[in-house]
Amino acid sequence: MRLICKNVTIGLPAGIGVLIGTWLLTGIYVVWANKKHDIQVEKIKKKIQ
Amino acid sequence: MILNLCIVQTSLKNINFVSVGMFFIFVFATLYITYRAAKKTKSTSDFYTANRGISGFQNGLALAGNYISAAGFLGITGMVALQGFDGIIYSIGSLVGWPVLLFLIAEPLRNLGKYTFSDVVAYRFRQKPVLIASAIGSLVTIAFYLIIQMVGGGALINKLFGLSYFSSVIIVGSVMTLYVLFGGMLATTWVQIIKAVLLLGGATVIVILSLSHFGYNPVTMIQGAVNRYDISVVSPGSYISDPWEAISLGIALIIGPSGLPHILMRFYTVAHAKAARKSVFVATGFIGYFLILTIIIGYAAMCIVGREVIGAGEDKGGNMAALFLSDTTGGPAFMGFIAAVAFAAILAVVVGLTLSGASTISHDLYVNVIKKGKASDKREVRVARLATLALGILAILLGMLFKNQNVAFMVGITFAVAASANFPALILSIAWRRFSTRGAVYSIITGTVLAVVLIVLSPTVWEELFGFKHALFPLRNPAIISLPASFLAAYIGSVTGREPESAQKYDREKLRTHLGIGAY
Repeated sequence: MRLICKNVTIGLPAGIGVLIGTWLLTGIYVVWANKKHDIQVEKIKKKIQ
Repeated sequence: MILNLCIVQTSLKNINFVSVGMFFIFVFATLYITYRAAKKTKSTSDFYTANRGISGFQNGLALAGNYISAAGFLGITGMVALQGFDGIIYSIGSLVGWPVLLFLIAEPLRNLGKYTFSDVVAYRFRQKPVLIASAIGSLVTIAFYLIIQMVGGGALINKLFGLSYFSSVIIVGSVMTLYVLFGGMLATTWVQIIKAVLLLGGATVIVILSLSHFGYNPVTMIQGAVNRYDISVVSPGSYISDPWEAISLGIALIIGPSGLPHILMRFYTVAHAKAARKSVFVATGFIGYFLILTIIIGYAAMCIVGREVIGAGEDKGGNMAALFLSDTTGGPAFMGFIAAVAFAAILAVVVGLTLSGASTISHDLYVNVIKKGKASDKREVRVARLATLALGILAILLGMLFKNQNVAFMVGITFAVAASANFPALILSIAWRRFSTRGAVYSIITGTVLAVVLIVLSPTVWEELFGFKHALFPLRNPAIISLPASFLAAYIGSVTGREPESAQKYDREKLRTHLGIGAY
């Protein structure tokens, strides 16, 4: 059991980190999808039509 | 000095009239606001198409409102208060399923432009068998979700009015059944948005009031909890000690959100895939913030109110931790307000669930399967009413059966059912060309039946409800067995029952799912 300061285990901040990380992950995906993915999709669409 | 930070105040053993008064004022105010909002939405234009105009941000807030049920709020805070560190797995686990939902399901669902889970799965296949199977999957998931709300609502009325738990559950069940029978559709987007704002606001105020006892420092608060009990409250293994149990619960929590019919429904309401994407980002932000609050509220309840108080009384699951805390830190009027917000939110969820369950029975099963599309509206409504009544009675009975359970724990097994019953069929119908009618039916039936049977054989039901000595299935959460089994059944069914037509349909559907060609 690792303590980061008296009586607070590393699991607590790590858990909150997972929550924040999850949110950031969806954010990164949204930016990537809007900037890169959608442009590629548009290219394929034009090729088909 | 830190010891003194934990003040024990065990007020409210009897009915408090200030709380009860505040409770009624706010329940009626919330119901009135939602009624007005719902009426406004209704008159604008048709329910589904009007919702196509919902913006990504609004839909995100509505998604959050749909997901953070009051019962989940009561359950998670109680779980952290009673179980300490291991309770946090429910806080964290409740969010990790959302990237899965975003990466795999949200945009294809939006592009398909179908309204219900059954429609999406049945699109490529023969309608009748898939409709029956997916109706069974949806109804079982809804039944489990109803248990959660009944246990939460029952414990709430039990604490607030001092009635016995049994009469509390009967009251909640009757109020909800009457509300659906004579009220009708209120579970619209705006109801969910209002609910999200009230719950987020209420939880934020509880946290500020609690942290004011500790100089606004969460670390001091956790040290207070450790001093009051021991180091075990911040160390793992006190509640979920079996690693297989932890993995099984993890699978359920990660996959579960992608199999919840009422969450999936929300993606059909936005204008385009981009908005679907944004709404998940907004929803994860709000839900994540809320879940961080539940951890703080849990520890604050442990430290300020104390486990002896929270776990005592008729509610063994500790579901009332947040209410005890709001009473101690903000007084009886504030507790009445929190109870009212929680109760109104529970009512909104229950009504939405009952309605979707009733429409599954009346529309999918009665009209489309039994009457083959030929039934008058009058008969359909009558069947829907009867279905509502049946669901109400079922909810009351199940709510009584699961009396001593923590609500967050119940969320865990409900997610296992949703993940096993709905997710494999949904993802395979989007992603696998050779998936066939037989595969879909096998998968849904296997997932649903296996998950329910394993829950019945688990320690929770077999030992604690039936009173037998040894549970036949060692894990409390069945996801680790039932989810892979559902995928396997899908594979076996599709390989033995090939369907060239469905593969052809897939080739056309693919352009629409992944590129948005033909989506409106």
